[in-house]
Amino acid sequence: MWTDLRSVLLNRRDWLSHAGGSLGGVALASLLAREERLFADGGLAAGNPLAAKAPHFPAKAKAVIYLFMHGGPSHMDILDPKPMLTKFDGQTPPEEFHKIKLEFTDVKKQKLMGSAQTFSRCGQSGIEICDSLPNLQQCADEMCVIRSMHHEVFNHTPAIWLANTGSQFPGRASLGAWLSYGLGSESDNLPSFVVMHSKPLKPGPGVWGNGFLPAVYQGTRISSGAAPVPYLTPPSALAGGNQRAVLDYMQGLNQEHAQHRHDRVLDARIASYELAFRMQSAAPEAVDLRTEEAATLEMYGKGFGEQCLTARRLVQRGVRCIQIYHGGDADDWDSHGDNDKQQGKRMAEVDRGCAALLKDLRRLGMLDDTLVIWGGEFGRTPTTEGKSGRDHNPYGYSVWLAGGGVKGGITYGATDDFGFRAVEKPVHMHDLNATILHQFGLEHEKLTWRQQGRDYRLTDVLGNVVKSILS
Amino acid sequence: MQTPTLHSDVLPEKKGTPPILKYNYKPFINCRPECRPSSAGSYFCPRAGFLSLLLVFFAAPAGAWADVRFNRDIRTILSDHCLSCHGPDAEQRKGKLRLDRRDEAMKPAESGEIAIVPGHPQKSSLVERISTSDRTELMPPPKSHKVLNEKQRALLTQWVAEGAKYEEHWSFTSLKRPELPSVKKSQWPRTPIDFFVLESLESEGLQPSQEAAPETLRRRMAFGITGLPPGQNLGATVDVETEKEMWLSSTQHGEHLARHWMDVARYADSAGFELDNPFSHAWRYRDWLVRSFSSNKPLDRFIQEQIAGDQLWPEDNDAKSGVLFLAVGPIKIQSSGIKRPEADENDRLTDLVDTTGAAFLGLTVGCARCHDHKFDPITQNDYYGIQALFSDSKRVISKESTKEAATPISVTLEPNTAPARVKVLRRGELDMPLRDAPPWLPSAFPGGGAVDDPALGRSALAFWLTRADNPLTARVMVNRIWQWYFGKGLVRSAGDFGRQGESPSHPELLDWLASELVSSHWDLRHIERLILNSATYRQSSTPCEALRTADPEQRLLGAFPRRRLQAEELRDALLFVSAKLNLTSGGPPIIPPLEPWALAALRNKNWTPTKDESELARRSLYLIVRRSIKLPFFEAFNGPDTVNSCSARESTVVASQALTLLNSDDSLRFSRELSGRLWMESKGDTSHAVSLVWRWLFGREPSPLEKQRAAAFLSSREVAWNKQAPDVRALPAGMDAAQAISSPKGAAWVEWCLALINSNEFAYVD
Repeated sequence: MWTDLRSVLLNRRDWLSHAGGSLGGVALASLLAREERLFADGGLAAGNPLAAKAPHFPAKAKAVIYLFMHGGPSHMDILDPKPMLTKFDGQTPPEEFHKIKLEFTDVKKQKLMGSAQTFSRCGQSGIEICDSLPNLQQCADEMCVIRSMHHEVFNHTPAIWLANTGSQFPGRASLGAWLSYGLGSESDNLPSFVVMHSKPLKPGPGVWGNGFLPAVYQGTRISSGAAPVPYLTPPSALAGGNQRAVLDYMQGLNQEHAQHRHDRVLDARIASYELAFRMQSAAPEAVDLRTEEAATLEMYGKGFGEQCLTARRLVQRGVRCIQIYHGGDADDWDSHGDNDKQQGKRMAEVDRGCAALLKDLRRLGMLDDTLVIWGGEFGRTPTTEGKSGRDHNPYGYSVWLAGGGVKGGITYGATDDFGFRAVEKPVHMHDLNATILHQFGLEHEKLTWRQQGRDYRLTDVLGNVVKSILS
Repeated sequence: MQTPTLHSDVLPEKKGTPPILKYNYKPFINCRPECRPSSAGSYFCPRAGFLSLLLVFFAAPAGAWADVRFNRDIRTILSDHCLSCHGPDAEQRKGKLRLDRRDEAMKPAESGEIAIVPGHPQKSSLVERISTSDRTELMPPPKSHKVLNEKQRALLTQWVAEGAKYEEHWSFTSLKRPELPSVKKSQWPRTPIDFFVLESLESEGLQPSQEAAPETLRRRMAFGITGLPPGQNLGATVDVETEKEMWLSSTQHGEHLARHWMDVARYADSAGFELDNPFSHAWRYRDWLVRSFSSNKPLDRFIQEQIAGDQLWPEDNDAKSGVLFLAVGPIKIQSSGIKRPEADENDRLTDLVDTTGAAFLGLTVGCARCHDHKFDPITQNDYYGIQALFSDSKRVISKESTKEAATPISVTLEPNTAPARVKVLRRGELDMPLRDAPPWLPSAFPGGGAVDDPALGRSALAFWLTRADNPLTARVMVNRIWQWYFGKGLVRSAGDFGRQGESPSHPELLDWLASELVSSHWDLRHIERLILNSATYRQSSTPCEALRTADPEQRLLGAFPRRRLQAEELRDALLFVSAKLNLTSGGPPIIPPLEPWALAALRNKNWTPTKDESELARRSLYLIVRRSIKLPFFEAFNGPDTVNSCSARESTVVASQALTLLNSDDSLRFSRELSGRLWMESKGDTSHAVSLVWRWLFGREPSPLEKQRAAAFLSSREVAWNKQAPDVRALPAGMDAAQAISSPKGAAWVEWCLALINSNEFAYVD
C-alpha cells in the first residue's frame, strides 16, 4: 500500500499542476516538499500498521488456507476409523466414559454407534481415509492427519471462538488478525486476511475480528462476483459518474486542510482513499475466475471448490490468511440427527475442492510455502444421540494439514478405541495455533499485545509447537 | 506412523491418561481479562513519560540516575518481570518470596537468602540473581522469555542501594486535594485545570498553544457537548458562551453522554451468544441514561441506582430502570440441550463483577476469579465476596411468544429469597469449590472487608463505591469525563487504573478534579464547565513545532488533540446537515434495513426493519445494538465491544471506511438530500451554496479560492453529465417542481456533496 503511495502522490503532483492552477505556486511547492519529507524520515511508512515486518525466525509458510468445517465433522466417520466401535455397536459404553460432559446427551444412557462409512489405506503412506472422499484419498501423501486434537468446550459458539482466537469468550483477536499484526501485509491492493463463507456462522462475524488489536487487522469477508467486498463499487445510480474526478476534488481539499496541521493521521486518511480506489479494481479481478482454464475450473468444481480456487488466486496476489467456512446455519457438520447421511453429504461437498486445491498448489509449486488446514471446532461422539445422531465431542477429534512445512503422509496421535478422547500425543487447539504461528516464523509466546495491563496472545497462556509433524 | 488399533474381543482397559488430566488446561481457559504479566517490556521506564527519559538520557551521568523513584522507575520492572511468581498471588508464588511488599522482600526466602537488604546491593540476592551469568540461577528464568536489560538491572541495583523505598500505587492512595501550582504565565489560566497543565508545560520549557479560532471552538464545543455540529448560523445572534450553556442543558447533551456511558456499560439490545435473542427491556436503561445525564443527576446517585436502585428507592420507577445496568449484559440462552443453571448463574455473577469493576473502579478484577490478583490488591475472597453481594437478586427471563428461533426476551432482577451460597472457586471452576464466600468488599480499601449487615446486599456495594474516601471511583469518573471531551483520558488506560495500567499524565490535576467532583456533591455539570471553560480545552489543535517535537503523543496537552468523529457523531452529523435528523428522544430501538450481504451474516434473522422513514433518521444511539452483528456503518467506524466494558474506542483509519463513505447507498442518499437542501436554500446560486455548505459541514466561511475551485468542479462535472444523461436516482432529493434543477447540474451537485461529506475537514474536529 505504501510503496504505491509515492506514485499516488506523484500523480497528484500532476493533478496539482493541472487542476491546481488556482493553487499558489508557493503552496504547491511546500505541499510537495512536505510529502517528500514524510517519505524521507519514514514518517508514513513508520506509521503504517500494515508495513511488512520480519518474523522472529525464518518462516516456512507464506500463506495459510484454513478450511473450517463448521458444526463439527465426525472424526470416526472421516479420518479416524474405529473397528472396536463397529464391533460393540449398540452396546452401552464402558464406565470410564460415563462422566464425560456433553452438551445434549448423557453418555451412560447412550449406545455406541459404529460408523456406516468404509475406509481405504491410501497412497504410499497408507493413511486411512473415508471412501466418501475419493478425490482427497489421492492426496494422502500430502496430508498430515492429527487424530489427537482435543479441548474442553462442548458447544459451537465458544468452541469456534476458541479455535479462532484462543479463547472461548468473545473479544480476542483471531488467528488471521494476529498474522497480519505480526507480519504486516504483502499486498498493496488487497486485505491481508480474507474470509469466505456462504452461510451465517453460529458465533457471527466476530470470529474473524481484530478483538483488541487495531481494526486494520480484522478479516475482510469477500464473496464471489463483481462486488466481493461491501461497498466496493459506486452505487449503480452513479455508474455514469467519474469517481476519480470526485476523489481528486476531495483530495485537493484534504491536502490543503492537512497542509498546516502536521498530523500524520490526516495523511493516512488521504492514503486510505487511494487504497480504497485501487481495491475497487484489484478485488474484483482477484475473484474473477473466468480467466482460469476450463480444466482448472473442472478440477475444483462449483460452490466450495470455487472458494478454494479463489483462495489460491488470493495467495498468488499476496493475501496471507484465507479462511473458508464450510457450512453454517442448519446445513453444516452438526449431525445430531441422521449422522451418516449428513456427514456424507458434507464430505461430498468438500471432497473435490480440497483435493483440487492440494493438487493445484503442488502443480504451481506453491504447496511448500502454503499451509492448508482442514478441521472444525470439535468432533463428534462415538455414542448415539437419538437414534442415529452424534453429539458434540471436543475431547478427541481429527484435523488434517498439508504443505507449509508440515510432513506429508503421516498420522499423528490417537484417540481411545472408540474415539471419545485423545489419548496418544494429544494436541490441544492451542498447540495447533502455536504450530501455525511457528510455520510463519512467529514464536507464539512472543507475539503479544498489551491490553488492560496484560500481554495477550493467540495461545492464551498455553500452547506447544507440535515439532514432530514439521519437515 | 500408523496408529495401531487394539484388537481384542473384550472391552479394553483404560488406556493412557486422559488428556484432560495430563494437560490440565481447563483451569486456565476461564481466566478472563487474563492475568499474565508482560513478556515484552524490555524498554525503559514506559510509564514515566518523556520527562524521565530526558532525565535519564540527558541529565544523568552514565550508569546512575539522579533519583530513582519507585512508582516511576521500579514498579513497572517488578510487575512486568517478577510479580507473576513473587507477587500477591499466593498460589503461584515461588520460593516463598514476595517482592511487592517491602517487609516481605526483606525476609529470608525459602532458600534462606534475602532478596533485598536496603542499602546493601551486594548482600541482596535480588541484585545477584538478576546479574548472574549462571543461567540456572538467573532471574527472571530464561524460560519465562522475560529479559531485564542493562538499564533495568542498573535501576534495580541503584534502588536497592538507595534503601529500596516502596511507594503505594498512585490510584490506591487516598484522595487529597492538591494546591494549585504556581505558574509563570499567570494571565493564561481560566480555570484551575490550567494551572496544572501550564505548570507541566513550563517545567519542560514549553508554552501552550494559542486559543482556537472562534468558529473552530464553536464546532469543537458543539460536537463535544451534543455530538452534533453547531447550528446553521455563523456569528449568530448569541455568543458561544450562551450557546455552550444552551447545549449543556439540551436533551442532545444527555444523549451524547448516554452513548459514551453505553460503551462503559457494554450496552446491547440483545443477549449475544448463539441465539442472540433480542432484549425488549434494554432501551429503558438507555433512556434512563439519557434522563440522568440530561438532568445532571449527581454521579454518586447515578452509580447507586445502577448497582441497587431497586433496593434503595423501591418506590422510584426511574431508579429501578437504572438497575437494568445489571440486566443488559450478555446471556447464554439455550434452546435445547442439558440445562446447567449453576453455570448460568456463575456466568451472570462473573459478568456483573467484571463489568462493575471495570466501569466504576477501573480495575481488571476478573483476574481474581481464578487466583488472587497478581498486581492489584484484589483477592479471590474479595472477588467472590462481591459475587455474593450480587447474588441477593436473581435474573428472571421472560420470553415473548413468537415463532422466531430467537425469541425476544425481557430480563428483570428480582429479590433472591434463598440464594445458593456463593463459593470461592479454585481457578474459577464451578466443580472446584474451596470455601464459602460471605458478602465482602475489597479489603485493601477504606470500608472494605466483611459487610456489617449482609442483608444490605448490593446496597452495601453501591454505598461503598460512592464513599468520599474511595480512592478509585471519583478518579475513574473524572478521567472518563475528561476523555469524553479530549478524546483521551489523563489516564489513557481508562479501564485500568491498576498497577499494570498507565500512569496519569497529570496526576495532581486528576486528583484535583476528583476531589472537586466529591466536594461538589458529585456534580457532573460542574466538572464539564471547568473543562469547557479552561484555556486548556480552548487551545488550537495545531501544536507548534517545538511542542510536536517535544511531545509527539500530546501527553502534555499543549494543544487540543484533534479527533475523528465517532461513528454515531458522523452518522448524526450527516443527517443533521441534510436537515433530516429526527430529534425525537427515547423509546424502543430503531431497526434499520440491512443490505442482503450484511443480513447474510446474521444467523437468527429476526430482523424486521422499522418502516417509518423519519424514525430511521433518529439519532444513532437509538439504533438497535445486536451483539451478534454490528450495523455495517458502526462496524466500519470502530463501534464498541458489547461483551465487555469498553473504556476507549479505537479511531483507526482503514480503506473500508473510505469505501463505506464513498459507495454506500446511505452516502448517496445523504449527498442527494444535502444537495437538494442546498439547491433550495441557495436558489441555485453556486457562490451562495459554497458559503452555506461550508458553514453546515465545516462551521466556517469558505475562502475565495475554495469558492473558485468548487465552481470549477461543478462546471466541469456539469459538462460531463451533459454528454451522458444521469440516472434519476442520482439527482438532488426533495426538490419541488418550481425549483427544478437541470439533471446534468443536479448530478454535479450530488457528486460535489459526496466529495464534501468524505472530506477530512468534515470527519475531524479541530
